[in-house]
Amino acid sequence: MSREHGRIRVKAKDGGIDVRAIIRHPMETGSREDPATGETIPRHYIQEVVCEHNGDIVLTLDWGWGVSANPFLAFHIQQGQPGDVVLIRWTDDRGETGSLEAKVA
Amino acid sequence: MQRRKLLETGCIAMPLAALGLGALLPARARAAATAHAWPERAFHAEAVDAVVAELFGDRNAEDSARITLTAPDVAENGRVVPIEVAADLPGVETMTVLSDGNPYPLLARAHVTPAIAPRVSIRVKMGQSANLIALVEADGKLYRATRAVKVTAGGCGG
Repeated sequence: MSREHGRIRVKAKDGGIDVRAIIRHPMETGSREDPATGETIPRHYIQEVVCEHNGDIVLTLDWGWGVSANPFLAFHIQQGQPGDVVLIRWTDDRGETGSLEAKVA
Repeated sequence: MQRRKLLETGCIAMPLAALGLGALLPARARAAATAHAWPERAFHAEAVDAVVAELFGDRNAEDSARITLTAPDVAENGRVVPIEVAADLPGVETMTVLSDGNPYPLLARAHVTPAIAPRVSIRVKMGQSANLIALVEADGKLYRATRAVKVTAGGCGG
């Protein structure tokens, strides 16, 4: 998986899967100024995050610009086993997309 | 009304997916069955009451000790405040987090399925010391938990 989009870690735990991810994204609020130019940095943020377990959607998130830069996300899938695939994909307010995928060891 | 209908559709679609019937549908149709519109007006609302009205209409939230809203008492960096919302309630549908001190209070909303534990962690920005508010929809009812966070360096300005 490309580090360009962030990092994902999946771990078998309690018969399920612990998922932790950091998505690479600036999550600009639109109220921050560039310290060098004094110009306002335009708002730019992830709007929707979809989490899939073996192709089934298990969690969907609506995010605003109040989510921290390089967003962290953790959750627990109730049932899973080695070989299962977890995919996190997202779309930002400019229509740009990214994804992270990992297989349970 | 529209949203209520969507939720019901979601509830019907989920058992179908559990039975494996979902696999028979093309990926696009499956995605559509569970898609939720990004709540544009709620994210742009500038007051907690306005956000709640956008997302939940005139439904009243009941304070519940069965929601655990974990956050630091003191956040030294308001740009990165780790939070976790967990609900010890059956039939959790959505979990929403707001900060009453931010210019735009709505931070995030999670649409939860029974396939995951009703517990999600993220990191958020808090512009100043404020109350974090978690709203959880479970079994058609709305529950709330609140937690004060003191911010020593803000996270919204420059």
